[in-house]
Amino acid sequence: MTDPFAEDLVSGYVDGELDAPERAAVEAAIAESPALGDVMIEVVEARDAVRLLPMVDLPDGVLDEIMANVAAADPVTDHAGPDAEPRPAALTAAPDAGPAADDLAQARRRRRFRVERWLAGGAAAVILLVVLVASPQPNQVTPTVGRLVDNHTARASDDSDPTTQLATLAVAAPMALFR
Amino acid sequence: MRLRAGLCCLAVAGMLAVACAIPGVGASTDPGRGAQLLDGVRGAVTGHDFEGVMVVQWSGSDGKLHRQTVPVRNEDGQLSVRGMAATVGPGPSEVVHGNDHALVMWSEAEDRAVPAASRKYHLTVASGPHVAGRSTTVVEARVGGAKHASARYYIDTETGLLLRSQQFDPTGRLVRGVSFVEISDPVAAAAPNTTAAPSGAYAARATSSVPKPFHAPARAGRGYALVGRYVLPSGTVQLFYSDGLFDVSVFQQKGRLDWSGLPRGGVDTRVAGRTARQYVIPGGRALVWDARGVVYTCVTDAPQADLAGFVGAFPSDNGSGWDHAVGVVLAPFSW
Repeated sequence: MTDPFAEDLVSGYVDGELDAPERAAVEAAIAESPALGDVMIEVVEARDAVRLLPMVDLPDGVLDEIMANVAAADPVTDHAGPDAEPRPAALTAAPDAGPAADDLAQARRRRRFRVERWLAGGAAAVILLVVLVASPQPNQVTPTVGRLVDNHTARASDDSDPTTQLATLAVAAPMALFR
Repeated sequence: MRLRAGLCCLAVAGMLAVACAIPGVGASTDPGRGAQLLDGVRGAVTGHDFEGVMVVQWSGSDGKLHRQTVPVRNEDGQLSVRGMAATVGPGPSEVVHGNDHALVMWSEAEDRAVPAASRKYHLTVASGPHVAGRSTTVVEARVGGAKHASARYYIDTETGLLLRSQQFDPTGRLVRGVSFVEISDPVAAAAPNTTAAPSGAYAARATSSVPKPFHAPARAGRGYALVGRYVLPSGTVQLFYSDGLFDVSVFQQKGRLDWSGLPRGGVDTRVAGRTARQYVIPGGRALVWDARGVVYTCVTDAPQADLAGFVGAFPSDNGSGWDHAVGVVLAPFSW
């Protein structure tokens, strides 16, 4: 369990929001605490994951279309409120209202089925669109090659002769790779 | 009779002198001794203060052998080479100051099982020439069956310091070399100072495993073993491989490579079926490529001949049709 205050600092460190003394304090704390080091990795991974998500802008009119479909479906549903206007008598025919009433009821069911089908289709299309647009595309990465060469050299010199390792790095430093 | 005996003695003495001067002639093939000498070079730097001048030579991407001279100083555990500095203590922690940054490596709970050089290379030990006025012992490393040596290391007979290292291509041509041309008399070092990491330093953290989609084969290429895994503050994963003589770091980052953002000076090349951007540097080379949503940067001093086998141990976009299809379908969901 790490101090939430320290976690905030680590988050600020990763985002480059700290001043020099705060950065130094975080680096010292990370050096002391493996748990805080884990927090830093989690913060970096969370930040990267969020950055992978693109902003989603639905095409113009999609929402209006959905609302229109919902509105079109409304007369055949029971969503009417107390202030709704009375329905026409033909649409609320009694069971013994005769063949004309049956035809109207069937027509109502067919229309309701068509509307529901359109709604389902529209919803599926919207979901598909959101999935396609919101699926994270691999972000573009430009490795800081010079810095990675430094990392390699530092690690390599731990197991071998540091003098020759550092000499080659010193000669390489003016190269474009390291600027 | 006396004259003939004298001539014989002279001839024997001459042959002995020649045998001592040429590496490989009169050499010991005890691999244990060669490995022991190589293992001791880092400790020799830790244990001695010295200053001098080194010449660095390397074969550039133009095929020409380049040469630069740098001053070197090692005092109280602080090794500095023209603007670069490292803390060289008995422990594994190290600080390298770059142009505008510094970094810290440490080996927290790390098991460093560096393979013995003698597992891959045939090591021979011989008396060597004087380097910067000091007598040396030469350790020559040769891959079994190879006509020419892969590398030679000239080690100070008295202190164990590495005075010259040379690396050769399969034809025996020098491709990289670092050598003292001047060195003061090394003196035993006092206990090294404990140096705090400088402001702005960042740490590479040892880790026991790497998360997906990164790939960390335990072995790669011809005799390279995974020796260390690290996570950098940026989230980049560093894998460190060694074959006992040469080292390879493979850095992995999630994403696709932005080729246009890479620094200039590189050359596009094909390695193990991958298109990579290669940078030749005095210490070796750096290769950058991407595959299956991961950007790889490989930094190494390993021979060119080892690279294809090594890089081939990592995933490519050119796998089987089925693998490729699965990769394409699953790539968007790999987060």
